[in-house]
Amino acid sequence: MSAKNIEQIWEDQSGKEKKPETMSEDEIRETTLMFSSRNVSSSRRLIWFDSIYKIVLIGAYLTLLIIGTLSTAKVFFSVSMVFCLSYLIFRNQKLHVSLTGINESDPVISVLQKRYDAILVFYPEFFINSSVTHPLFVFAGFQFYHFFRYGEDGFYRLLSDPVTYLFLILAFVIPYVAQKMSYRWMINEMDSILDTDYSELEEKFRVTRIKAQRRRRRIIFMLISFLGLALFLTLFLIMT
Amino acid sequence: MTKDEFDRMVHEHQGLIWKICRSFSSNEEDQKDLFQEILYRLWVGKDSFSGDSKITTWMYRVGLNRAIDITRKKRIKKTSLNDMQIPSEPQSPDYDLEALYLAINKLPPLDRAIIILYLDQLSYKEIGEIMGLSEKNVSVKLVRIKRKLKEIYLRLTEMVRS
Repeated sequence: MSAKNIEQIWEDQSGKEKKPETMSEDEIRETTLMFSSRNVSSSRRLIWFDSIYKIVLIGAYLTLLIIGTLSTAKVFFSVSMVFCLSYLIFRNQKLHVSLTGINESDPVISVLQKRYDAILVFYPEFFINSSVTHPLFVFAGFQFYHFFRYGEDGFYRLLSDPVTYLFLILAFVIPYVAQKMSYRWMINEMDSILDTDYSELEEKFRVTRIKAQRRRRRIIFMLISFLGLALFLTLFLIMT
Repeated sequence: MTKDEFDRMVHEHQGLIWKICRSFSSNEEDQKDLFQEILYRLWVGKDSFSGDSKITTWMYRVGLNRAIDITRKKRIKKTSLNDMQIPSEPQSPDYDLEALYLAINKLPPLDRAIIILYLDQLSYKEIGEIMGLSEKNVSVKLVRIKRKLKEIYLRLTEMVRS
């Protein structure tokens, strides 16, 4: 068996194309007609849904300001949450561009690098961004429950009850861990592509990994600082 | 590019897309799905084709990028040669070609992309443009890929004979 034989075998196939290797012009026309009504990609849909979820939550916090008992601490807390959610929606738009803006008519190696960047750098930001929203949903839900059950939102009672914090932590940790597992899966998939000798990709991927790690730490630190500070100031305002 | 022009272009060059599909999936259903996926990506990106390069260069890039991404999402199964469905009748007219496609299927995705382009008789320069590699790099990698492909092909065909 020589390389020439392989080439010969490959060349010979053009004369004996069989189904499914040929489509008539009509079949192609029918197929491309369906494309105009095709839905958006799943990653784009995921980000849209997450942004809608956040918009609904902003509405919920604003509603709680109107229907609940007003106090400086509650106004401060609710406004902080609205700001936090608005910022996360803004970040979602940036992520949307990064995750969906890969041009597949670019060279293969460059597309792979961009995909790796998107998965390693931007996807973790999205899942932190989305996991942070759940505790905010749970807290708003608790307040609504109190309002409809007892006629007042129970803002102070909730903040002084350790069970609330337990639920808030669980609301963050469970989706975070689930998404982290799916993220690991994605990284393994990406690494399986590299199961070969492509030094130009390996070096870039290594740099991306370091960049991504730093970025992830920065985002987590920023979010925890913001939410922690908001909670601390709210508690301070309640006590004074 | 109008819809009619697009349909004509696909009809004319569909062989190129089918070769990518057969090299990246071993069963007919997956090949059809991949064909549809590539067609869709070509359709979505048809306005990004500037005309600076050959239309086939653009089609290869889109097709290979899609095929590699789908392969990644399906997770490449580490099947041994023994688990592969090898063509059983050496006398069959398609036997050599089926064995060759099976052998290509065993290569890592990027190697598959390069060997398809090589077998389709593209120059090193064109392969480099499609893959984003230098000509020298393409020639070095091709030596290794051809050797590996030959080994797999021989092992596959020997398994049938024995």
